[in-house]
Amino acid sequence: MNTFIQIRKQFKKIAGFELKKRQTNSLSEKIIKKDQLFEDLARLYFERPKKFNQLLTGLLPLINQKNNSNETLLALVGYLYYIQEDFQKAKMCFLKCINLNSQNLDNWIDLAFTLRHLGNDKLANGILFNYDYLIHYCHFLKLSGCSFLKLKNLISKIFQKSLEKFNQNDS
Amino acid sequence: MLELILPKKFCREYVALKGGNSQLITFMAVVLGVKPLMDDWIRKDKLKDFKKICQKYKLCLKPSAIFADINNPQLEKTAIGKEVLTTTKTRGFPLEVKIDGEVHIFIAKIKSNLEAGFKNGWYPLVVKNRVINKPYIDYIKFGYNLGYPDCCVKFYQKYNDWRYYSHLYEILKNTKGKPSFLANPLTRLVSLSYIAYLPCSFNCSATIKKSKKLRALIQQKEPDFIKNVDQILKTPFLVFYEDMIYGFEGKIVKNRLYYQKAYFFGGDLNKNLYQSKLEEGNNLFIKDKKVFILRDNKIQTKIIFPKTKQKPIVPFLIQFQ
Repeated sequence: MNTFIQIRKQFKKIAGFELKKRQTNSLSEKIIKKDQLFEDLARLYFERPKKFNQLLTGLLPLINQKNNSNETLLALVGYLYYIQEDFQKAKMCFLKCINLNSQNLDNWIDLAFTLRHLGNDKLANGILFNYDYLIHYCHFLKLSGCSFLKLKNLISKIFQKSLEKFNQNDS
Repeated sequence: MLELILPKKFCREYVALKGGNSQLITFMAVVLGVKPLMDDWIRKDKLKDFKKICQKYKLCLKPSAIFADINNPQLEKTAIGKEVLTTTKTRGFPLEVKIDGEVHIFIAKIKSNLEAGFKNGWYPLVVKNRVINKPYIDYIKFGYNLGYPDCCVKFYQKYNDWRYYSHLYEILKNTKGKPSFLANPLTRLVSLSYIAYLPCSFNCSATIKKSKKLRALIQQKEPDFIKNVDQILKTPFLVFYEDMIYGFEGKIVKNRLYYQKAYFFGGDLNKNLYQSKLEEGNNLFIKDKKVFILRDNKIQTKIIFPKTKQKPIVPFLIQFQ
């Protein structure tokens, strides 16, 4: 916890704005994106590239990415990697975010666009077009902490089922 | 003035397939290798034929999603996140779904440009009544993928926020010297511009350089087409905001526009609110953000822009050279 407070302090010092605790964007809230951090970091990247680089060099080493269970920090690291176009590492962060909090729509959307950048269009679309089913099923099946493989299977199955259902209704 | 201006041969199949000239010059720019990438919308039942056109012009293509229920007013009312929807408001479906609609596609000459553009090029779609929007960083990078100059991407980043800025007016303010028809974006909604984006100024040198190259290449193939496009780009314009623009047969003398006829250049005819008012007069001027329309020096009517969500709206007159 102390480390988190330290990181937040350091973050504000470098970025000039606060690192707010990540809130859950649940489906019932009717918001497309709750966490504005991604956009703020992107603006920083374009408008103050030096500050952005300082975040990379001064902040990233402070965050233990392997055994971190702090959704805010994992999302922050994911965004930093995404902006730098290290999508493989960003994917790992967003997967961990989903494992920690599968009810947060922001986590799913962040993962979906990362997968699109990795060339995994099918899986990305599986999330983007079925985000609601995924959130419900993860809750129903209590899938927190599952592997990427298991998650991948779930996304593919749900995508397939939804296509079958749609095409059946249409015909 | 706004009768369909078409090439005789070059890219004529594109027009035939799409049933109009929408994005024609942009497509020509990709074919001629001036523009690295474009995105487009093709009716699902015409996708096969479109692929043949791409083959003919040695282009590669990648479909992204199906757009259906396009511009249904209900979407604007009920969709979660409707405020981020752009001019095309649509529901999105995966390609595998059997539904009629338009396929959102990416087109490029070089495969790597296509892949990069595809990754950044997700269009904000309504999926299950919620807008699915891509990250902000992808928007900016997509601008580069489409070949927009760095200065224009940065300007767009700063001023493309209708809550605080009138983007076109900001471009005008940033224009030092005479506006060039090669950097005229005001006709882009009727697909008669050499640029498909908003430049940082109406004489942006990077934009002019690109447009000049494109214009010269098209001119070699279609000189009459270019002559017609140039003529339209050089007419006087009355600008309110991005999709409320009028072009005129006439000329501007000392900040007053003398005209015979007014044409709407906004694209969506439902937004043509002032045609009849403009037809009441034959000259106009702007004072204190109000447009005064006169006939033979007698004020006939005026346009006072109602306060809307879009602010500030600053009408202005401009003629490109």
